[in-house]
Amino acid sequence: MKLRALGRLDGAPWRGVAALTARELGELWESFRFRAVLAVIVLVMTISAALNAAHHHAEAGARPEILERYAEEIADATVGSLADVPHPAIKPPWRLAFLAEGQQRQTPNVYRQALSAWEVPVFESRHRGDERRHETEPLDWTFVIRTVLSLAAFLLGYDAVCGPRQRRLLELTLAQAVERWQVLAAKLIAIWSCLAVPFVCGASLSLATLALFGLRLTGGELVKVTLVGALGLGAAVLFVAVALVVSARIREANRSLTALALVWVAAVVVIPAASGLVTPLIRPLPGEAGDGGVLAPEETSDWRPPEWAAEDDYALERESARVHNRQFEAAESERRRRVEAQLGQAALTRWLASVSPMHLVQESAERLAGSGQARDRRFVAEAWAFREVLAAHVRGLDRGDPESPHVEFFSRYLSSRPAEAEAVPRFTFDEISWAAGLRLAAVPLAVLVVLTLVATAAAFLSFERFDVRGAP
Amino acid sequence: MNHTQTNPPKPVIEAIDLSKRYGDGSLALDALNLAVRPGEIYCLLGARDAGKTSALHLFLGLTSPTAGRARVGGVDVAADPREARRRLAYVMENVAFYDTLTAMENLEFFAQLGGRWRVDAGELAMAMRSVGLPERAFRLRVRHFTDGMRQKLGFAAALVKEAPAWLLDDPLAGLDPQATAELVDLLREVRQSGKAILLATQDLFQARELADVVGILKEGRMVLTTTRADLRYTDLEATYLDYMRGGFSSLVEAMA
Repeated sequence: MKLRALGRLDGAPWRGVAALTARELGELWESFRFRAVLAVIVLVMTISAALNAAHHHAEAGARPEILERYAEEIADATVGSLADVPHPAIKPPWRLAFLAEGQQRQTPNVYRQALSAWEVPVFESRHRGDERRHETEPLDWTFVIRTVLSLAAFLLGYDAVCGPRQRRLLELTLAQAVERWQVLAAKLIAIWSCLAVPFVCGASLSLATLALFGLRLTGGELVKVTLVGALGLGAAVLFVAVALVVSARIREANRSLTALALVWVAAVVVIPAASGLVTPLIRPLPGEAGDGGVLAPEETSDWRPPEWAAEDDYALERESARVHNRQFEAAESERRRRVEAQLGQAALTRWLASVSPMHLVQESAERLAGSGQARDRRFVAEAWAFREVLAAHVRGLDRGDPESPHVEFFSRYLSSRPAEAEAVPRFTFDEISWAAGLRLAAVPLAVLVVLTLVATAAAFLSFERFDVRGAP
Repeated sequence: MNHTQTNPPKPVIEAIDLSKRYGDGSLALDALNLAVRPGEIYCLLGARDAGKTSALHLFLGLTSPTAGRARVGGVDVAADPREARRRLAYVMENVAFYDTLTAMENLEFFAQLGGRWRVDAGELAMAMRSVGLPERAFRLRVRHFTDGMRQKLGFAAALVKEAPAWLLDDPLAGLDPQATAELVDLLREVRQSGKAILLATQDLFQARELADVVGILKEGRMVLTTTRADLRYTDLEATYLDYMRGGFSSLVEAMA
């Protein structure tokens, strides 16, 4: 009885898995495929860090220009004229663009709004560079995870099962005192390690490059980096499992490679592109239906000089302001509805694209990093909320002047006292914290975990049923 | 009283009504019964697709039987395939090894997978010498091996495993006469050492030369079993061809 137990211990499952993993690793590490994957991942991540750090510095340089011009505009402003000045709300350059750029360079980053009913607020894209230049795919960690890691997993795993079958090596291996699950577990671990090692090396070099470029990350940002890194390593399990399923189901290496190449093209290129084309059909934007004429009320020329208007306590002006403000609110409401519709359309595109696991990974990474649509949406919400802060400030100053007619927000009929420029509230953008990002990413992460479990189970099941017959 | 005279040793390799039907409906093996005892070479003779490899795969647990049982060293393969494989050494036609490893490294790796976690280099070298591999090949990467050297390495791996039962799937096919002769000698030595050997082959001459028992498989059915003693009086080639053509004359002859 004792001897039997010792025998079992001697051949403990982990020992077989360890021996098989070491062998699989040895095979992969000596292969050109692995070396190419290592070089590409490390290079892309390092270059991405350098480019994003340089771009960040350039973008950060543009911000003071806007603020300086604004400071000049309000330097000699009166309380009344503050209503006519467009106050900028600036979305700061995205520090974690190397991690998950999330289209921050394409979405508006400046919102200008005055309190006057005649000034149309505008969202602008004030980015460095030529607007006509074709924007290519941003180089960041999510690009590496979504595109390079998935491709590398397919390249390393396409012949993991069918290759040794064709060479009859699998038959000899399975004829030994090992279980099938041990053989597949070893393949999974080995291929995953061959993705994890380059990814971790690339990530380390990426962070070192950022430090070299003077971009020091805060504690919260480092947590985000860790979370996205962990997501990348987790996604690699999914990609490897998919490769193993295909390799076990399709019994010839060249056919397995072809099938995986098609899966990759569909998941990375076709599905996202198709979702972008389908979305406007499902959810068209209101403006596209031909709706116009809701920009702003036209400025009236019927204003009376203040001394005349004072005679009837500005009755005409108050009525006119009430009408104009109502018109402005209606127009503003329509503008916001359009922006909301655009955001909704973008979100729908993302959800449709999330049929592809690669894009689900992208979505999860952007949410974890606090980038992408979540950051865009937050900027819009905070920029709109900033109007109330400005209004409260000007109203407060105006109320403090007994000589003001208090006709909001018409500069001629507000206080003419000088406004203290430094006291005018400035917009500050509140970035999404890592904890909030984690909450935002909960659903896509849960779906990814389920997909990974299903793919891994499918790989083991396929291999359990795999028929080693038919070798040439 | 000599016990062994009255009770022959228990079979090491045993098939009891072993059948296999694949998912596509093809019947690979139909109620196979055989027993290979220690020190015996049982030769499964048959054409391609006769069910020889399927039978070996059932003993290895690489596929599961539709009916019947396969036992190795008293272990039911279906109940404990890993333990059954631990008791089996397997050499097939065109043995494959890891090309990037040396012969020594390959042997060590497969010995570990076979359940022997501690094998010293001397033992590995001894096994390679036994099969006639030259010393210079021991530390040579297998990618530089000829087909004959690979087959020899396959036999060396089987020796290192120290399994009581050997399954051989046409391991001498396509080898040059010298290599074949060396390996035939080796098989005789292995039989001498008390191993039970189940050899699947299409080669009538090998069967005549090596087998203690010959079983002829046709379309998954064992159509004839004959012993070495019977072979002295039987024209194996004529009998085999008769069965392959579906004739019965040789059956009558054999019965007589």
